[in-house]
Amino acid sequence: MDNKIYIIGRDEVPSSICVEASQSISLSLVALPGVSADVDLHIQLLGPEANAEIKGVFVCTGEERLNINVQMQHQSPHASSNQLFKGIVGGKAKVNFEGLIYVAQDAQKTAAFQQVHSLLLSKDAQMESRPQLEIYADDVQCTHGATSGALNAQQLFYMRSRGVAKEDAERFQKIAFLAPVIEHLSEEIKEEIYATL
Amino acid sequence: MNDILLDIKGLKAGIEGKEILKGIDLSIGRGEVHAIMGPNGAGKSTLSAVLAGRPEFNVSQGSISYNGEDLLALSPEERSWAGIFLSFQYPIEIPGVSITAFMKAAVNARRKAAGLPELKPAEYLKLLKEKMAFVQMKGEFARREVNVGFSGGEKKRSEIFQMAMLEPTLSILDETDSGLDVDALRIVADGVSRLRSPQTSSIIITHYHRLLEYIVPDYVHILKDGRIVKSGGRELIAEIEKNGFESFNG
Repeated sequence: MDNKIYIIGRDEVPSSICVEASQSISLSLVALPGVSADVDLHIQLLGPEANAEIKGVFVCTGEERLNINVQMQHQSPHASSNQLFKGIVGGKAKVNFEGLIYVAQDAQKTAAFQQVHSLLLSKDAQMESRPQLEIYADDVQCTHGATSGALNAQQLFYMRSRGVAKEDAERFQKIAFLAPVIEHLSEEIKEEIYATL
Repeated sequence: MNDILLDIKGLKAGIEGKEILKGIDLSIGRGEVHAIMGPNGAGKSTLSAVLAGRPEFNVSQGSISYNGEDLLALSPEERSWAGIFLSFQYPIEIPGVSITAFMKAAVNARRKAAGLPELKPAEYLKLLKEKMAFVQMKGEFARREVNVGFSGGEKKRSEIFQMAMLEPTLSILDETDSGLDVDALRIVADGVSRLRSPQTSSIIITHYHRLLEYIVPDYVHILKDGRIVKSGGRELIAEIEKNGFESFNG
């Protein structure tokens, strides 16, 4: 399955995608520092065994305003979706994530997952996650979770005690944090992201 | 006494406003191994944290001189570059960072601080393999994420491996023997013994005498309630073994 990569502000992100029976789509959204945008992504799963894998990575460390709105609409039974968003928010950046998982009444055996995790680097940085579940079927598996945290002081001290400079130790943590949403990207894009950390 | 490497004077320190060390005086000469023993809660781990510069701990009084320098003015990484190594009682897991990448950053940062060029990849690999053999670690170890999913014994061996990589002048082993089976203990003790030299010193913090059967200290100090209540030679170990810490009072 090909993974399509959309760099926000550079590539046009499709606002609406339909996934038919037995079809799988995989896409990654990438937001690099300096980019403010409103991203709307509506995905409709229209047949059995339709599958959508969405990954998102955002690094906002200035004064960006990034609004991400994902609507995952399960219209058919036996379809699955998986969303994982991870980002670093620093400076005075504001990131707002809204994610709706909608499961229609006859979309039994739906499996839908959504995770949004952020690392906050400054007091003025803001991350808001508003996950919503709207489920009308009764035999489904749906979960969502959101966390916001700071750099881990114990890990930083451990690395520094071995001689890794503070900035490098912080960078290690950021890279490790983003790893799950970065590892499948091309080397060029990875390098571009690493260069911002 | 030998040429003094570490000199602690009247040290009072604590965390979150609570004083834990209530006035420590301790001098460590080059080439010496000092054991610091004491019951739980005596302040042993606080002492090691303060020596390594853990930011959460505050020093309210006293001084620490290391190699003639004011140790308390140095950041944790500067202390490492100056040759201080703390083996953690509970090594921290760092998901997503491999041992290889971590140690490469550590070794090269230290070389940079010393005005040396970075190691070439082949040189680094050679060093890595040599030191892994030192603690009997297999090849795949280098690719694993730092301490993630390691058994208790592996974590401690990993600490001694890192110590061997960094060749410290002053190593502080904080409860390195806790949670080790006999085989792991022997590997750890053997590694530490082989790193001993007339130029390097060690502080071994423990509340058992187990590790001290393998690494024989020159001096033993008993720490109780934030103070060193007795200092002596290795004969103190037998005394503790016989009577526990109860009989020692400040």
